[in-house]
This record gives sequence, structure tokens and C-alpha cells, in this order.
Amino acid sequence: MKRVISLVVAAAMTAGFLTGCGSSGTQGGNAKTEAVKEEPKTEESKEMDSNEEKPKAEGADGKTVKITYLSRFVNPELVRAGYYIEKLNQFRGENPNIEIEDISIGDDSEAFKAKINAGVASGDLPDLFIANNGFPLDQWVENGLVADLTEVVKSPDWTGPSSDEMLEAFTFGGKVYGVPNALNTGQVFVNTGLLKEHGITEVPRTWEEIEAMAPALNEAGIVPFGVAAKSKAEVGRFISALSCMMYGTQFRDQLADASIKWDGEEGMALAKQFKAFIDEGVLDPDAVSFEVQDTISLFEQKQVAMMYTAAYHFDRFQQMDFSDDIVCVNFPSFSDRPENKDIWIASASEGFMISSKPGTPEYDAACSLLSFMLSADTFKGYAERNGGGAFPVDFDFDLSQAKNVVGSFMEEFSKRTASTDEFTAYLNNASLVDTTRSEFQSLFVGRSPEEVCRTLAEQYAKEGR
Amino acid sequence: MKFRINGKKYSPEGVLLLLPALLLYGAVIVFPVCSTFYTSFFEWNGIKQQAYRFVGLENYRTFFHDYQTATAFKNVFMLAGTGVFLTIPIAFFLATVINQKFRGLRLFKTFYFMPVVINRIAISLMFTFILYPKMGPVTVLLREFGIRGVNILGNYATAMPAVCLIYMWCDAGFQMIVFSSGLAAIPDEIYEAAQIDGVSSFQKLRYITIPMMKSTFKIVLVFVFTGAFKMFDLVMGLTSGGPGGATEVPNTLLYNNAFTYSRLGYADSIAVVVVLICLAFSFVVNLVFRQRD
Repeated sequence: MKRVISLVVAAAMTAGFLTGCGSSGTQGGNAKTEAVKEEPKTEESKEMDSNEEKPKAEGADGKTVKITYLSRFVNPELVRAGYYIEKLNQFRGENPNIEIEDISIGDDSEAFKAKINAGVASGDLPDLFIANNGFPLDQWVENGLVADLTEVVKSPDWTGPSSDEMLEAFTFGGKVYGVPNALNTGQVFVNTGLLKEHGITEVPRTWEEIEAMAPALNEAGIVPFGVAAKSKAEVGRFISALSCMMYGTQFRDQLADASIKWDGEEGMALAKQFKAFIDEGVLDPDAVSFEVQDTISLFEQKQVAMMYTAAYHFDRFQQMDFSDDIVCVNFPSFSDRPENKDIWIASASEGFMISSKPGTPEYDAACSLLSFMLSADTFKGYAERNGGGAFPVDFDFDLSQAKNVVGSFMEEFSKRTASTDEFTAYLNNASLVDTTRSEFQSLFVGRSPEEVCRTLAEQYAKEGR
Repeated sequence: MKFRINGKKYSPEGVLLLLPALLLYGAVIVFPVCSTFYTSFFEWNGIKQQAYRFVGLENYRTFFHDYQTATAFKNVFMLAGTGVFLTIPIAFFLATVINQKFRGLRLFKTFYFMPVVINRIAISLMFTFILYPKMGPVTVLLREFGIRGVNILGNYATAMPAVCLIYMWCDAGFQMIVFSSGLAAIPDEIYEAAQIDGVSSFQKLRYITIPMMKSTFKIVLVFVFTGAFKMFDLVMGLTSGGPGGATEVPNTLLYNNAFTYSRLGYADSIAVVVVLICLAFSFVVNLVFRQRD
């Protein structure tokens, strides 16, 4: 009797264990998405999800298609996220036969990366998702993880980004595999009120002017030029802009095709110039301890006079008490190289990609959502909501409607002679990108330009450059 | 009905009852470890459809020639050294304190153990604010003493020592509990007999307490050493391996290679090296302590 009971108990425990491990792929996928979702759902999203549990709306052919959608738009209190959440709900309302499971992740970059990487490893990427050149997009294309969207962007109905320049980051082998959803520019925010208080009435446009004003500002405990050097991305953006002002886009091209080395003349000059800004007090020596939000807070507290950062943060500057005194200008140039002064850093390397297989209902639904979210009308609506901005598609916008900070940016950006992504984006090697940014970061902590350039030259050589 | 294997009797019911636990253990421990070891001999970018490419020992060779590896090992041995020469003595001292009977003992135990239960990312955030340049409490205090321009976590020379000290603060409580249980296992009669013989406190410590806690010391030593090699969360929260790679440890290199550079085979080789070092250390410690027995 004891033996029978023990056998039954053992069998029950084993069966229970195996049942728990043997759940279907779909259920397992959902469990994963629920586990990594960081932001609380909004009331609207909750309402939409509860609607999804009701009997499904039927399309004309009686079939409902379900797709998964992964974006960065979660917090409705942020202007951009709130707008795109509304657009998603609008699409849902207009397309009741397309059921969209929103598995978006907001501010937590690591959770977002982990979600994408898990999808890649398991072969279960969302149908429509945002990705950027921080991921190995070329390997995804090679392994058929993402769909060819060339026909979609070339179709007559398409009103979204379509120029070669905008699609470059997502073009592989002459075909388009993604479409940018933003144009992320790098610009300098200047507190003109703070400069006036210290006798500087003109907005400095060159490094020579900034170097001249640095001692007086340092004396007053103000950082002349802020850069959030704890963020490797910010360091990368800064040195890319600096290289553009020193060499135009030539440095980018020569580094990408390995015709120059870091321990050569150009690389060494770039590192030395960066180091000189730190040593002269133009850049804050403690900048390596500050993330972007910290540096923006210092700017808001009037401890930083000028700050170079990405377009993601316009909202914060617009909401400052003294936003009327904030103007946006391009990265400072060098007076002996005026031909480079209107080159802007503008990255169109984040955008939507589709993992569904062409010919399937999920692919058609994802394309429909893609076209809607990236249409010129959608970008224009956001521009009107945000009071302007820079976008990967052209449309008419009344500059008089532009809000103060964004308005000054749009005016300056319209004068550009060229725009380029960061030079690291052209290396197509995540390890070299991280190494380059990290080595330049180390200039803040006492390493010499010679050491940095030597290390970079060795690491690039190991990767065959 | 029992069956025999190599002269020992086994009951089938016993084996069956153990089966679920063994299956679970196999699935979450044995299989991932074996898979990691296997993948470390291949180049793989984490894409399901991408075939593994056999590279033999190339990943290991690359790891030992990587310019960041020396810094990572230097940092992890600094952590281990902090554990051995700071955490263990402090934890032992705290254990002797909490093994006394006095008023407020429970409060002491709670305070000393609290860092162990707090999430290390929360601890990292807390110390990031404490050590903030320009406006953190430590910086302001040092400024009062005339020491200006201090940026502890943003300085090549001070970043890793700061991480070590924070690690010691986090870990001492746990080792204190281990020592405390070791101290509690020593019979009081031995101390009473020593008291009668007129032995001093230091002699009691030197000739009674420490020898009788040999096995506890062995356990704590292994915990401290392997804990240093497992370090990841504190470094990522405080410095993300920066500034400029100054606080990189093997696990941050592993993380970056796996999830940023998509080099999973190489990342697995780092994991295998760390495991082998920890196993080797455990073996050496066991050998040394057994010889002393």
C-alpha cells in the first residue's frame, strides 16, 4: 500500500512539473512580455486591453488578425509618447479587424534591449517593433529575421520617409528593411539669460569664443559647456560633432573605410582637442559622473550655460521657467574652418521593422500599421502638438506655430549644408562603437590622448581596420 | 522491492520521488552550465537561425589577450582581497558582538544584516547620490575640510576602491551571520575550562575560537572569493564598468559581449573561465584546510 501511494505521489509530482514546462509558445511569449513590461498601463490602454477580451470585432471577411507591437511609447504624460499612444488607439478604432497587442517598453533601455534580444534568440520577435543601429541589423537581415520593406516604401500610397539618406541606416544590399520613426539631431541648448548676466551678449558660435568666456564662467562656478559624459552615447555624439567641425564628413568616411588610423594625425588631433577642452575648463571635469538628466538638471539650476544633447530632451527644456531665454544652435565650429559650421549630426537610425513573413495576414496588418504610424500626416500632427521639431520626412509647417526652443532649433536646422549620423554608426561593429566611446570617456579620468589613440588603433586593427 | 547497485540497496519509490527535483535541477542548473560550456567553443551571435561556428579555443585565447581582461581581473582580485582582509575580520568582530547577551542585541543584528537584504541596485543608487560630485554629502563634507574637486566614482584611482568598500558594506552582514552560527556551535564548557585555567581573552580567541571555527572560516573564505567573482549588479549600478573601463569586472565584460556586441560564444567562454577559477579556489581551500586537519 505504501509503495502504491509513493508511486502515485511521485507520478503526480513529475506530471505537474512537466505540465508547467510544456506550455505553448504563444502563452510562453505572453508570459515573458508581461514579466518585462516596466511601465504601468494607462487607463486608455487598460480599456483597450479589456475591449480585446470582449468578443472580437470582425472584418469584412470575418477574420481578425492579431499582431504584436513593441515601441518605446508607454508614458502618456510625455508629449511624444502620449501622441503615439493616441495614434495607436486611433488605428485600432479604424481597423477593428486588426487586434494589436501592445508590449511596448518605456524608459528602461536595458529591459527594451533584453526584450529584443530574447525575441531574436527565441525566433519570436514582435510583428512590428522599434530597433536601432545598436542592434546587429545586418545579421538580422542575413538570417531573415526582418522583412524586406522596399516595395512598401516605394508604393504610391506611401507618404513616410523615403529618401535614400533617411533610409540609409536600414538599407542592406540595396533593399530597405526598416523605416526611421524620428530624426534625432544633436544641438546645443544655450541659456542666453545666464550668459547676459556674465556680460556675454552674443551666443557663442565658435570654440574660440567659448574658450574665451570659460575663465569668467568657471570663476562664477558655472560650467561653460555641458556634456553628459557618463552616457557613452552622448560622448559618441560629441566626438562625432567635433570631428565634423574639424574635418567635415571626411573623417567619418576615412574611418569607415580604414584609410586613417586613430594613432594618425587626424585621430590624435581629435583626441587632443577633446582633452584640451577638459583641461581648459570648457567641459566639466566631473562630467563623467553625470547622465543626461543630471546635466539637464544642472542646466535648469543655471550651473551649466550651454549643453549639447539629443532632440529627445526638447520637452524638458521647453518646460523650464526660463525657456524664453533658451535658444538652440548647432555644435560650435572653429573660426578657421567655417565651411563645416553648418554640418549637423542627425541620426535616422531608430525606426520600425517588421518580423512577420511577407504574404501572411500578420505582415499585411503590420505594414498597414507601419504606414499609418509613419505617414507624413502623423509626423505633421506630432509637429503641431510639439510645436515643431526635425523629422525624417518633409511637410509644410508654419514656423510661427513653433514653440520657443523648438522654433529656434528649426530655424537653425533649416540652414544646414549637410547632415550625418555619428561616425561610429558607419563602423557596423558594436564592439568598436562601445570601445571608441569608452576610450574617449576615459579622457575625463586622466588618460592621455596618446594612450587612448594607441588603444583604439590596436582594437580597430584587431577587427581588421 | 529494493534493487542493488554496487552492493548498495536502492528503493524505486525513493528514486521516483527524487525524480522531479532532479529534473528541475537538471533543467535549470546542469543543462545551462553544460550548454554554456559547449557554446564557449563556438562563435554565435544569439540569432536562433544562425548556425554555430566551431572556433575551438579561440574565444579563450581572445579573452586572455583582450586589453580589458587584465583590468577586470585586477579589479576582481581587489574585491576578493577586500573580502578577505576587510570583510572577514569585520564580520568576525561583529559576530563576536552579536553573540554576547546585552540590551539592544536584536537592533544591532537588524542593522548589521540590513545591507544584505536591500537590493543591490537600490544600494548602488543610494551610494551614487552619496558620492555625487559637487553636491553629494561626502563631497560637501570633504569641501568643509578644504579638499576640493573630489569625484570618487568619476576618478580612475578611486572608483574601484569605492566599489570595494561598498561591497564590503553590503557583504559583512551575511558573513557575520555565518560566523555567528559557527561561534554558537562552540561548547561553553571549553571556555569555562579555559577561564578556570586563567587563559586571557586573546588566548581564548587564538587557541580555542579560531581553531574550532576552521570549517566556518573555510566556508566564509569560499563565499567571499566566489562572491567577488560573481560581482555584477553593484558595478553596473554604480559605474556601469566606467569611468573609461576603470571598474570593469569579468561579469560586466560578459554582459557587454553577450547583450551589446552579440558575441554569445565569447561571453560563454568568460563565464566558463570564471567558474573554473572559482572551482579551483574552492579545491585549493579544501585541500589547505584538510592538510591542516
